[in-house]
Amino acid sequence: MSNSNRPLTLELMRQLGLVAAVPLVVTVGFFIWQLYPQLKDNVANEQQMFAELVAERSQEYLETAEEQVQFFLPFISQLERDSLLTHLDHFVQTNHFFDSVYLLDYFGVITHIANRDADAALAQDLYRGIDMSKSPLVQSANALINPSWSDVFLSIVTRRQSIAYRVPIDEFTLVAELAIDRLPQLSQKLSSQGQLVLILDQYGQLIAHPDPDISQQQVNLSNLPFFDRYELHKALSSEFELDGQDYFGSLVTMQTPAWHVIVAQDQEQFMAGLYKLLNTWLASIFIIVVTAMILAYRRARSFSRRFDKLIQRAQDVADGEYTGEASPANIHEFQALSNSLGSMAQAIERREHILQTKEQQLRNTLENAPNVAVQWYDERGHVRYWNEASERIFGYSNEEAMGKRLDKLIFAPRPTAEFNVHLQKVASGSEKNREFELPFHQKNGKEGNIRGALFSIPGSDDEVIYVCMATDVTKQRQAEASIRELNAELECRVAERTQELSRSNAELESALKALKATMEQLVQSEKLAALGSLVAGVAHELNTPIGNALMAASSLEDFTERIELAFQDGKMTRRSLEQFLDDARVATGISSRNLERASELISSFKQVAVDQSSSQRREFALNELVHEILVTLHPQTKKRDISFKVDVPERIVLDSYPGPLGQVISNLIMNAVTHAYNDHQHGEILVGATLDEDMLTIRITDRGVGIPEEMQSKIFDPFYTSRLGQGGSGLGLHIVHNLVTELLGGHIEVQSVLGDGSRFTITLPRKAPSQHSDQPPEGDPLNPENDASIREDTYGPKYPH
Amino acid sequence: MKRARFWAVFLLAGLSILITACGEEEPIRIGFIGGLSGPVSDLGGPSRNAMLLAIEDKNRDGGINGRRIETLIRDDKQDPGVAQQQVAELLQQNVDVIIGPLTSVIAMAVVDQANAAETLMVGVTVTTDELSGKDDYFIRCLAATQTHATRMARFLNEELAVLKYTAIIDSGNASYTRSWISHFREYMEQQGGKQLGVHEYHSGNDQAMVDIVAKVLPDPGDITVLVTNALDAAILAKLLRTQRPNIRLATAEWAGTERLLELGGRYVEGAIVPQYFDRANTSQDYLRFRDRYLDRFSHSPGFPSIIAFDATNVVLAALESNPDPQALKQTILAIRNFNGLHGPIRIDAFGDGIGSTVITQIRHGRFHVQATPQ
Repeated sequence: MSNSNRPLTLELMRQLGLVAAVPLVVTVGFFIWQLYPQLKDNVANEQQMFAELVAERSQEYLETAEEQVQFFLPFISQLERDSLLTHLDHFVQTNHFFDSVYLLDYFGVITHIANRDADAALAQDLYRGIDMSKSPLVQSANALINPSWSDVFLSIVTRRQSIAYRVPIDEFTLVAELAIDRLPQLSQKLSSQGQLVLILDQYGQLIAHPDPDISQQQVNLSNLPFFDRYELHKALSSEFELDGQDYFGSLVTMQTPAWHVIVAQDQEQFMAGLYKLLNTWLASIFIIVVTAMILAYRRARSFSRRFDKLIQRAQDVADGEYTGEASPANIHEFQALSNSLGSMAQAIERREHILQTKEQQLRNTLENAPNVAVQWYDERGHVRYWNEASERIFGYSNEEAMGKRLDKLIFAPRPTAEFNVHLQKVASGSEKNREFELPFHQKNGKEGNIRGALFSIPGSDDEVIYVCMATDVTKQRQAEASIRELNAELECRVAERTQELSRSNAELESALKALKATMEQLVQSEKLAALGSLVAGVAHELNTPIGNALMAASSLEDFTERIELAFQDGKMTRRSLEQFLDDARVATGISSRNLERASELISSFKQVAVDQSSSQRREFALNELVHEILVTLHPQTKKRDISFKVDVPERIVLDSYPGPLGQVISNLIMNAVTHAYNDHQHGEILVGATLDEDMLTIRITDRGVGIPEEMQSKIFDPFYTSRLGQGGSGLGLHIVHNLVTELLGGHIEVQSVLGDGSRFTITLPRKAPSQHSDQPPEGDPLNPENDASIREDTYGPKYPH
Repeated sequence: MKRARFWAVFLLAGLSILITACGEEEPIRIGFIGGLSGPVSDLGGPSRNAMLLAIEDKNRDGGINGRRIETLIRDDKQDPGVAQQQVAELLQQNVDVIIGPLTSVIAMAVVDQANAAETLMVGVTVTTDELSGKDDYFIRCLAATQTHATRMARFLNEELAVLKYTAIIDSGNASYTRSWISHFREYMEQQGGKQLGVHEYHSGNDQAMVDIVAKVLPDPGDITVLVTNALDAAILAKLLRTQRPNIRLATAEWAGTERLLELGGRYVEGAIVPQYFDRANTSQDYLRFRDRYLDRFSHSPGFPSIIAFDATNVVLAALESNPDPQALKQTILAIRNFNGLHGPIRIDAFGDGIGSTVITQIRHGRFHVQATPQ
């Protein structure tokens, strides 16, 4: 890049040459763009005029031929065969146009013929009688009405491509054939001065070409570009190709026949004039460019002398010679440049001074840093700078350290090697700076550690300086060593404690196992107690109605014996019989009422038992369930002065598990009966339910003693009871909680104010969630739904009687 | 750097102009030789036109693998001397292939030049047997004369019970006409027929025509066969029929052009004319070709146009498959089956067409097919 500059002389020559050439090139371009088409138009106009001329000449030629026929017509009107033949023959031999002339009769058959080249008699033999009715000569529509020229056709008479002039005379048609090889002569005559003249018939078939051979070849030129945009009687110009040659030509169309005349010029010839002009132009471009370059060379020499002076001045400034003199110049820019050089020299001088001051400041900072040892090294590790802090920390003076390597000063072999590695990393540029910590020894042999960083700064010339900034960390390292010792001791102690802890943990685990075993035992005994209590309750309840029924039955037996004796003795009176019947009615009434009562009780027990023993899911009315429960609980509550209020709408029908739900309700009722009121206190328990959409809320409320706040959070825990040792197992509410939350898919909460009663609120879906198939482990007391033994005893143990 | 780039661009622009100027591929050069003027110009003009149509189409589609096709057209004026000179000129211009000539006599005059230059010559309406079965640089899409002459003889014998016949032949195209009549005679004699006279004249000699007709008229036999061009056939028919209106006429394929209908008029009515293909064919390819030909040249294509169009397309198809003109002969002989306007074109191992003859009769100024190829 820096080597590609050129001397001013060359550059000026190039630019001036360019300045001279560009307008000329643009002019040539403009010519090609603008003037060339105009030139072409001129040529086209000339050609068109020429073509018009040729068309006129051709027209004249044909008209003259027509005139000759017209002139001859009166002679043949007489139509007498012999003289007619003589006339025809005379006509053919004397006129300059027609080769053959004949008469066609109404049927298109030749009746008389004369031929320029043939013997008259032979012509008659050969051609008289020829049937031309199928020939295009006769077939074209207006041939038999008006005099007209035919298209080009192959003449049977002359065996040449011909055109014919046809004149109808009464029923006959006079046909005068003109071989078109006469037209080429015309074309040849006209094709002068490099212009090619072509005549085409209306179908574009070539009939006249300067080369008569080509004229005979029926070449069709309707593919020339003229015919693509052809309009009648309009001159057209175009470039085209013919026989491998490029032409530029123009076309005009004649009146009758509608032949086309093309006047064309060889493209090369056409372009030759243009090329001449272009060549002149190119030559002048060349001359002008060369002249411009010579001028540029002379001008550039004088410029470069001035530049040399200025360059010398700039060099002086570079060498530190700021007080040179400005040389006077007569060109404003040169004077300005010279002045600028002077002020630049002053500015440089000023900045140099500022730089020196700044360097001094920086050096003082380095020297006076008390605890930071700063050294400079060259790339081989020789000391180039050693500040006062280095003297203090390492014990070597500036003079002692300068030019030496560190292994000779402060480092043992291993730290030296490490230091060199850092130096190389920084030197290779792979890392910008390196931090390190290394042991060292002072001049007096005292050992210590330094911690520092190594980086590079540019030095003068191309050299790189490596800076090491380090601090003495010997004391810090000693402190850290003692901390490490303390830590080790601490770890030892922690290990001991951990061992102790795991030992006591093992003991705790075995105690927990024993506790669990005890708990299982307890559950088993609770189950048995509950069964006993249930059986006692049921037996007690049935005792009264069955006893009553028994008593009535035995009384009836008595009455019956008595009336029987009276009847056998013949002492039976009408009155005694009536008395018996009355007694019997009373006795059977009593016994049947009591048996009904017993039966009702049994069916209630049975319903509860069945529902509780199976988690059968079905649809049921909540109202009925609550009533059944109250009947079932009657034996356990009847001795107490407690009234029940039920506020359950009849329409609430659940799709759920009636057994577990019944157990929940009865457990809660019994819980209230047992805990809320003293034995002789009057109490009231409300059972209410509301259905909001598909969510059912059941509330069981008492006005009893209430539950202390600290107990409220624990009552659902297993084995939590306020009556431990008095028959309460602590499982009842826990079972309630489990059934509600797990089987029935709802939740339960308690609100209570001490001395003002409690309320249990159960919220559950009208349709219980479907059951999962996975079975809980057998006998799990906390999950009773599949465990019949637990279900039977639930309210027993908690509420003894 | 910037300046260097400026000059580089300048230089590159110049170079690229040079390269594009030189980069255009050498065109393929196809020569044409045929009688464009004179008595057989009814073969020449239409053949040349059809060839041009095929090539113009191909060039419009981008030529052969991007190479343009150039044509060099020469008129042999049905003169063997002129033809030799023109073929020499074409060979000098390094044409890759020559389409033509159109008549057997010209073909015989120039075939040695083509063989010597090893430049393929594809005959259009040349059917002479003298070029059959030869491994030379001459190929054609039509069957040899023998096929057509024999077929014609068989038709006349079987359908029209012809046994005795007279013939007028043009000695100007002797290699075709003599060969034609000798095959015709061979068949007739096998059937017990008899040739009452074969009369030769040289086309252009008008007096000879009149004289010959005088010889034929006394005893023309069952039929008079005109082995001439269409123009001469029309005149001969007129000469014969004006003096003997009931004379039966037949021609060879050579005369079967539209000119025969136009110039023969009433005198060629009823004449039996063999053709190289079925004129009643209305295949899509043919109709498309006919319309485009009519549009371009303002007249209907005759049989020479169709044969020349097929011949040109055979050459173009072969060049498409192997663009090396040196291998053109081998390429065509390797392909051997091409698509033609009137069905498939088949070429045998010697480069002769395997074709057949369709017999027509002129009725009401048109060719009517009497018998299709067998």
